[in-house]
This record gives sequence, C-alpha cells and structure tokens, in this order.
Amino acid sequence: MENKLIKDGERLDGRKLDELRELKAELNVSKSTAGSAMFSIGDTIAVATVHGPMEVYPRFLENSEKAVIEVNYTMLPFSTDDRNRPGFSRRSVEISAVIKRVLERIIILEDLPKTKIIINIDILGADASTRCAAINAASMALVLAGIPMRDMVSSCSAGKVEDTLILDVAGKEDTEGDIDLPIAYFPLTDEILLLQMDGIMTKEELDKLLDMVKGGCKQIYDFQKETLLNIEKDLETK
Amino acid sequence: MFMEEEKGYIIVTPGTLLATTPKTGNGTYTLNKKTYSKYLGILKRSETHINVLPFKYSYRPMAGDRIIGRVKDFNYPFFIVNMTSPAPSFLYLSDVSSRFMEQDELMQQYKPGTWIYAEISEISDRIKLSMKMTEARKLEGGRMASVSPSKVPRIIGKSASMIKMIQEKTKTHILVGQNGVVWIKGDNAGIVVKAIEKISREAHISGLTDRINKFIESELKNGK
Repeated sequence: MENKLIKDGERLDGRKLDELRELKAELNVSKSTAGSAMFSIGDTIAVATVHGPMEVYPRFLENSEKAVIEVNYTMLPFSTDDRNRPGFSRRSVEISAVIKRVLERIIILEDLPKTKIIINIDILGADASTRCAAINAASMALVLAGIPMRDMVSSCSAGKVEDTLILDVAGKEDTEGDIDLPIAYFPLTDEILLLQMDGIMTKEELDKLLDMVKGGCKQIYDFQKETLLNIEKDLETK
Repeated sequence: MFMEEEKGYIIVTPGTLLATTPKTGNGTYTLNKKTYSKYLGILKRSETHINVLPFKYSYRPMAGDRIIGRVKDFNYPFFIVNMTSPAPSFLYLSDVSSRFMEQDELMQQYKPGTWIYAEISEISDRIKLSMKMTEARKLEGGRMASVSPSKVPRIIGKSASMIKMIQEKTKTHILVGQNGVVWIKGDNAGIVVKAIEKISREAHISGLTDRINKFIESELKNGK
C-alpha cells in the first residue's frame, strides 16, 4: 500500500484532513489598472485585474439600470505541467461564466448604471481549485478598484479521497480522488453562490462536506480581510 | 474585529457591519434592517449618519461639478470632452462662450487635445458641459496631475485653506477639478505634484495641513 493518499489522518503533503494550503496575497500588483490582486493557495496562483467602470461597447449591451460585467478567465500556457494552448477554450468560457454569476451577486450593479466593468483573471500556476483562487483574487481586486460591493466573496474546494472527506483538494488528490466540490460562499447572508461537483456521494456526505468547506471559506475570508486592512497600514509608512 | 480606535480612524472593508439599525449615509447600504459598508475606506460616524469615505472610487458626474477635461473630438454641434468618467461629456457650441463666436474660430481654439476647465450644466441622457461661468477657461501650459476623486476635498481643504497655502508657498496657480484632475502652473509645479501625491496617501491622518506645510518648506530649501 505505497501509493495511499491518506495515511493515519495525514495527507501526501503533510496536511491534516481539514487544513488549507498556505495562503498568500499581494495587492495592487499592476499600476495601470483600477485595482489588481494576486491570490495564491499552495501552488495555485491567480492574478485578477479590474478595469473600469467604463463605457459599454458594444452599445447594445448597455443597461440603463445597472452595470454590465465581463469576466475573462484564462490559464496561461506555463501554468500546467503540459503546455496549455493559449487563448480561450471551452473550459475557460464555462469558468468565466460561472465566476461572472458569482461576482454579479456581490457587486452593487445598480450603483453604476450604463457602465461596464472588465475583470481579467490569469492563472499563473494550476494545482487544483483554480476557479476558487480566481474568485478570491477577483473579489480582492474589485475591493481595491473602489467598486461598491455587498461583501467580499471567498471560495474553497473540498473532496472525497479513499472514502475520506478532505478540505482543499490539491495535486494527486484532484486527479485520483473521487469527488471535487468547489463552492463560493457569501458569509453575510450564509449563501452559497457557486457549487459544482463531479463524482457520486450520499446526502449525508454532502452535508458534512458543505460544513467543512464553509469553514475553509470563512478562514479565507478572514485572511482576505486582514490583508486588505494591512495594505492601508503599509501606505501610511511609505 | 479589525478596528483600531486608538489611531483616531477606523478602516472598514465591504460587508463590515456598521449598525444594527438602518441608517443613512454615503458609502453604506442596508440589508435586513442592518447597515453595512460598501467600500474599503475610512469610517466616519455622526449622530444621524454613518459614512464610509472610500480610498478610491471612480468619478460619478453630478450637475454643478467643475471639472477639468480634455477635448477629444469635434462633432457638430458639440465638442466631445473626456473627463475620466465612464461616459464622455458634450460641450455644445452655444455653451462654449457667453459671447458669440464663429464655429471656425472655436474649432481653431479648441483643437483636440486642449484641456479645459468647465462646469457640468445638465445630466440627462448625456452629460452636458458649459463654459459660461467666469472661471471657465482653456488651460494653456502648466502641468497636470491626477488623484482619486475621493481625495479632492482634502486637496482643497477646509474653506480652501490647503490649496491657498500651497499656492502662496510655491507661487503657483492651481485648479482642481471635481473629477480628480489637477492643473498646476508655475515654476515649482514639480513640488506641488509631490505634495499632492503626499496628500492623497495621507489624507486620513490628522494634522495634514501642517505636515504639507513642512514638506513644501523642506522641498523648497532642497531645490535652492
């Protein structure tokens, strides 16, 4: 039994079952944008940049009651082990669409009528749960761009490997595990804004997994908040 | 939770609970009869209002605002003016001057790329500018600087104390647009740009005017 993914409650990379990978964030990484942020969880790195609010092109998309948002999620060629073909793929279009639905719920779109906000998310390193890192980065970049928001959103994944429930799927657990379940969590109203799943599990397992993943999201939310409050302390000393 | 009372100001992030009753104010919203913050910014409380002053926000035009913009194009019967807001603004030929001017003359004077100081006269389906007020002018020479629109009140100061002080010390002429564009004319324009950058960084810390005063004095000494 050499290639067991979980041994005595410890995973391949030495984490406990309900432990997140190392979280890192950097704010205002790009100066030419309204707001930008880098978010990394383990080896998964996402950079989000926000442009706007700006004029809406093409014109027919313009809405006189609320803002329109555009999300472009792309995985860079060097982000995976095998070279990734640059540009949009079926997968990136799908993920852009689900991220857009999440962000539409947290931005107060009614405050910015007749405008458009562009959110570009690049994945620099992919080691499972890229869409979670993408949502976390986008949420921080939007806050920095000064766009009115209901709250920040945090996202995290969970899964099932060898009949054990784990938080924050990574590396081999993603490719060989049974279930991968990313969620985006809105802490203010206790809502789930994104839930995708592949694999089969029972209802009891889903309930347990949701409790676990919500806990992970709350940890990430606190981390995001702390980082955002600290950057302003850096500003003062400069 | 992450509040720091002893510094005299509190920084809040979006979604921070500010009051358990619905209260009015700028930069806040109510949900389920509770008041939350909309922006990352400084919390300002008064008896009736709760305001959040964002560190950064995009300019939203209001009628009566005086702005600095750049003529982008002419398209009869108006000039299209870019003023760093999401939508462009329009300066109609009839609103350019209070005296009558020929169209050819106006087109000569307001070529694309000209900076102007104008007032927003009306916001309907499009933003209309007017240059009929006495302060309105074409900006020639000088230097431009840009700050977040949320810092404009700090650059002007209480009853224009800050801007008066800077102008007297550096012997420059300064015009500030509500959209965050600043025009500076004079020999010490470089120092003013530095001072404005300092203001926009430290706007929320008290004793700002004194610090800027010292900063300008030391900069002037270094220059000579």
